[in-house]
Amino acid sequence: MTESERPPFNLRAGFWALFGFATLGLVLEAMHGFKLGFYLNVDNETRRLLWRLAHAHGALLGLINVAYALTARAWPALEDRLAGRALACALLLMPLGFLLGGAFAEGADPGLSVGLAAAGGVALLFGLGRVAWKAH
Amino acid sequence: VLLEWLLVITALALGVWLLGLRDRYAALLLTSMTLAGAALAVATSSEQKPPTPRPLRGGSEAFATSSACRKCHAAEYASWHDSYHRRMTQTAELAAVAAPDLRQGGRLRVETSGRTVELFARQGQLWARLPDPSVTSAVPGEAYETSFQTAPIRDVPVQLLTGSHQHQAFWVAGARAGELRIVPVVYQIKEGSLIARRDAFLNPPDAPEQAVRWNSNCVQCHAVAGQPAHDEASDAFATSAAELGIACEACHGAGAEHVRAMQNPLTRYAARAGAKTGPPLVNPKNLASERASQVCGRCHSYFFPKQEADWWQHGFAKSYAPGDDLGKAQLLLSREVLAGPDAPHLAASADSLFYRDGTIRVGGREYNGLVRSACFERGQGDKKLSCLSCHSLHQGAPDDQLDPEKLGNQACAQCHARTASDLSAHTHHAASSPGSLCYNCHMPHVSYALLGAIRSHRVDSPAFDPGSDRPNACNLCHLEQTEAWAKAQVARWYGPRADPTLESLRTPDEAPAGARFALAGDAAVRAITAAALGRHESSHDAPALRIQLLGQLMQDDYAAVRTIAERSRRSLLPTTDAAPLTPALVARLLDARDRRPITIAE
Repeated sequence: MTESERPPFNLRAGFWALFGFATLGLVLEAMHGFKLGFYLNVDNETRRLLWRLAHAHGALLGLINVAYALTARAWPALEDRLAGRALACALLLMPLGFLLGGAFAEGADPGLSVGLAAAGGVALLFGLGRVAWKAH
Repeated sequence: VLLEWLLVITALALGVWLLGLRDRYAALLLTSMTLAGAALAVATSSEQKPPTPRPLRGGSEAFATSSACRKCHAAEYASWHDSYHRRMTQTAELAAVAAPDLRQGGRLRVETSGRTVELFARQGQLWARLPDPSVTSAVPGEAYETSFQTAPIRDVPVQLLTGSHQHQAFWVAGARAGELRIVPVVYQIKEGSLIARRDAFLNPPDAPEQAVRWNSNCVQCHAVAGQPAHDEASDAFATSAAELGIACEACHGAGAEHVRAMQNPLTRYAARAGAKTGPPLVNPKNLASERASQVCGRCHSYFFPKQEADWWQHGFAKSYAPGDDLGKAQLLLSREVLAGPDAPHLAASADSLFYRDGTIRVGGREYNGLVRSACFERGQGDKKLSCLSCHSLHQGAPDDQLDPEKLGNQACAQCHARTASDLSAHTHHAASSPGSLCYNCHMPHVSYALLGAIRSHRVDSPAFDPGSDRPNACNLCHLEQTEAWAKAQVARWYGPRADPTLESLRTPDEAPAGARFALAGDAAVRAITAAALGRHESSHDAPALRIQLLGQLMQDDYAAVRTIAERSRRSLLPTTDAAPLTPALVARLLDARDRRPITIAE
């Protein structure tokens, strides 16, 4: 496959994210099935919430990246390099923030790494905003 | 923390690489992202506090704790979580403190035994300022009060809380290693006030203050599998419990093995299909009624350990498990047992604990009453009275945990259907009146607990035994009538044969029964009557008599009687009627007062 034939970065990142976060969903289901205490015990309520958020946001951001890549191919005028990078950045930081925040949660408080989710949120809004502006 | 920071920095570096920094918009975005991330991290991070000192070392490996139970039994967990059982013992975090003033950073103080005791919040933890407990609890019990009056004042962290329904008590480290001693104050939750502990219980006015110890008094019932672990050589405690409060495994037995087995989904589905899948947990509902009641009776009874030396080590954690025969671990106390040659030594007298007819009069000890009920003694199989005949721990409202399907007369109607179908023919009261509620006649409020009267759980019929000091059910409503009147009514309705004691009634007294109970009764009877004077169930309310009697009770020697009388007084309607009792009658009843010292301090 030549460089020009290679699918755009957001499309590849989106599908890998869908694969990864669908796998995470399966892992979470399995943890329910085996009643694992570090996920289901009352003391770990915060972890449970954050990991579910990581699964949901990861999968959704994967779809957004796929949608952006296909949009840019269908309407080249909407392609925006910085928006694409911001969406990819959000895809990395937002679910990772929830995942690490849950992993390092103490009591009702997530780990400090949950800050990555907010940073990813800003990147997501920026990317979506730029594409929306261009489409306007 | 290091690993977390490493991962965060790696993720950020990847983010920056993805973003690139080719134009000013990218730089602006990166700055916004950094600010938002830092703000969220700071907002959600917990303040690094030193860990709260915990008196417990952790429980036995055999117990899984309620947290593990919730994974499969969410509804049962939720109903238990709402219960006062769960909050019977809690660590002293501010969120668990009942007093709103303390939770909001205020202070509460009260005078007791000539010293001021103060409670306050500091760094998210409850503290007490009181005579140094490491000094006051180092002396023998009889010297406690003197020591309390002279010890230097000290600020100490409160470690445990007991109670969340009526009262809340507070525990601090004592003189011995691992020991917890009570702060001699009690917070009254409904009244919202802090009072001296000696005034919160029924204590003779000249009784010295007691330094109650959590490790030996409370751990056996207010925690799961509590073990005092007292080392006689060093006089130190290594007290442990599987879980604080009365949690799942207190009634269902140790669950760690069950949890391990049920982690496998195949095992769970096999169990659902009826296959035998390892050690089952105890469900009191499936036990024979006597054994089911013993699960509750393990704590809701007045008992003494049969193996005292073992108890100082293991409590009942090794000698009893739900479903076992409770009689092997505990000696159920009664007047007869306490009069016997091998009677255990108790702080309270038999007169304090039991009426002369043997009925327990200490609230919270319902099992002693249950086993002396005809429905328990004569009932067979499913018809044998048990705690679950009326109560449901997972369906009932938290206050009394009564089974919603057995409210009112429905519990009794399970066996006494014919009586329930024609209620007035049996009760001789209007069917919708309080006089037609089975428990008002057969379970009157003659037990004393926590500044109030609660229903006796010895289910029996109103009796007029001349030797009994127990107020009869009829006159607890009809306070203005004499006992002779009540006796005559009962004899007319049910015949003298209905109760053999009717043949040998005391000489009729011209004083209203309420006056005799309130003025001539012992301290527990006076407390119970003070509470009865605040209930208005009879159609003949006699407000002038109530005011006169409560006026007397508000001057009682016992602080607890005065407190209850004060509460009841608030419920009275104003009246212009003259006081019905003559000074001579009042004086005669006061002269005849039963002055045995009564202590119900739990």
